[in-house]
Amino acid sequence: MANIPAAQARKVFTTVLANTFQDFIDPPSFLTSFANKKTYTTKTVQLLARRGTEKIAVDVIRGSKGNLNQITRFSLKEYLPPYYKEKVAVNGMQIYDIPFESGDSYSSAQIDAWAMATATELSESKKKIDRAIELQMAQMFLTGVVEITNGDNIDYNRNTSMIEVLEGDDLWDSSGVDIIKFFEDKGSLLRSIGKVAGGQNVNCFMDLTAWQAFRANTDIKDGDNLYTKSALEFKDNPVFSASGASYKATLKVGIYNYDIWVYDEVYDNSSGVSTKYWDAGYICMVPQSFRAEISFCQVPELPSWIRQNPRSSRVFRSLGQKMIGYRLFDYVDQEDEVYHAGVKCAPLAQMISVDRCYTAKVLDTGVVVG
Amino acid sequence: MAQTSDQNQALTTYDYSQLFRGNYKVITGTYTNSSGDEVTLSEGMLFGRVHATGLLAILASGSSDGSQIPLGINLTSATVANGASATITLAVTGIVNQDKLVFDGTDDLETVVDSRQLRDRIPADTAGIELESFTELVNYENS
Repeated sequence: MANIPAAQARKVFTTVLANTFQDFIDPPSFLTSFANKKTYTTKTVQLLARRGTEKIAVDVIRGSKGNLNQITRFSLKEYLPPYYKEKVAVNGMQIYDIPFESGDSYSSAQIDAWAMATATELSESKKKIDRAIELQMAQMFLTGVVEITNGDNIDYNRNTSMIEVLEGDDLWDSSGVDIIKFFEDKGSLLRSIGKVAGGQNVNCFMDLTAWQAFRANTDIKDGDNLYTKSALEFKDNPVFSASGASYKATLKVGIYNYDIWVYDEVYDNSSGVSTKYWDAGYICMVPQSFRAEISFCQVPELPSWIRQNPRSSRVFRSLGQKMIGYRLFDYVDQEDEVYHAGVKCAPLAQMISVDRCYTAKVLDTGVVVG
Repeated sequence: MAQTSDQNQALTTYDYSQLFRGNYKVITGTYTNSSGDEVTLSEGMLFGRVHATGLLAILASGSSDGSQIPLGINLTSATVANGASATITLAVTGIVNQDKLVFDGTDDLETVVDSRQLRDRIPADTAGIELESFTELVNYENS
């Protein structure tokens, strides 16, 4: 048995580890909650789209043949999602530091501790992908273009009338702005271009600066058009149970009721700079009938009869969570004595009802995106 | 069908509307390409007959050899080399989607030939082509 050094033994009497603070931050899910999640066993995913019209019947002369109608047009869209692969590595030298015993005779507790530590690293790696999905949703709502680093950006070709940059007296912090009219007019756009039936609730989310301009507006301050919903009234709205946004009030103007949310979440970009998912000064209106999907497509993988899962059960069980759409993997590099565990995923925030949302830059701050 | 694509996405538009709704009779005839270039004869193209030779010709309102008068509508696509002849099949009766007719040059249904618009000439001059218009109830996705 190894001897414990005196310096280490003395610590037992002089100090204690009272608390731990491990700042494992959950990614926001507010924007992702606007989409359903679905997994596919294929590399790409397709969408068949037919844009509806609202044509009206015109009366005909009795005895005539009547008017002929047809539904013969459609568009087929196919997407190859971006691919994410995040992994952790445990090498022989790290393992060497953990056990007190020599050789390969680790105790069950030590193995569990190792598995839990590795699973934690893996879980944090998976959160990176979750954040990338939330960012895809933000890009979809902001510009309609999901940006891909290794590949071509995916452009949903949103109608140009549904993405606006306001100017002059239309800006929310200008003295001449009529925010009530703004909501009424943009509701008409959602009705005519987005084909969103009147009377629906529309989620309207904005960053903090846009919210500050909104609440400072005289018409809003009067509050005649505002009321606050209870949680029960949100029972069919998945965004209410998502994290990252704060519900403020409901604005009752025009042909819809607008649920106002403030969403000001951040992520660390590749340079480590804290960056907003949703750009400053922008708002987005998303009606109940908006449709999107997080399409989890197949990831590159060897068939099971070739694969080896040397440590998977222990580590993956320690994750303690379901990972639908994510593929866990691990392998041992015998030569370098490294154990790799990771998660891979090919998700795409797929915009299904392309024009059923409206985006505007309402403040003259920051940059114009798109 | 129209298609655009890049590395991560593709968009294809389809139109399954029909030229003929049925009930058509056909005739065959010879078309000789003397245009100087290869010619593509599209489905839905209007044809007339040259009086002097009996050959079929693409309907052209400015002609005076007989090919300005509608005879029938081409049923199948074909490509004919310059100087070559081809046997083509025309529908001379039947219910036709007028939006899918293919005209030569700037001709259209309102083009006047001998004091009559083609929309009136086609039913009157053919053996029994009936023109119908369809209302399309859907549109393509943004592109």
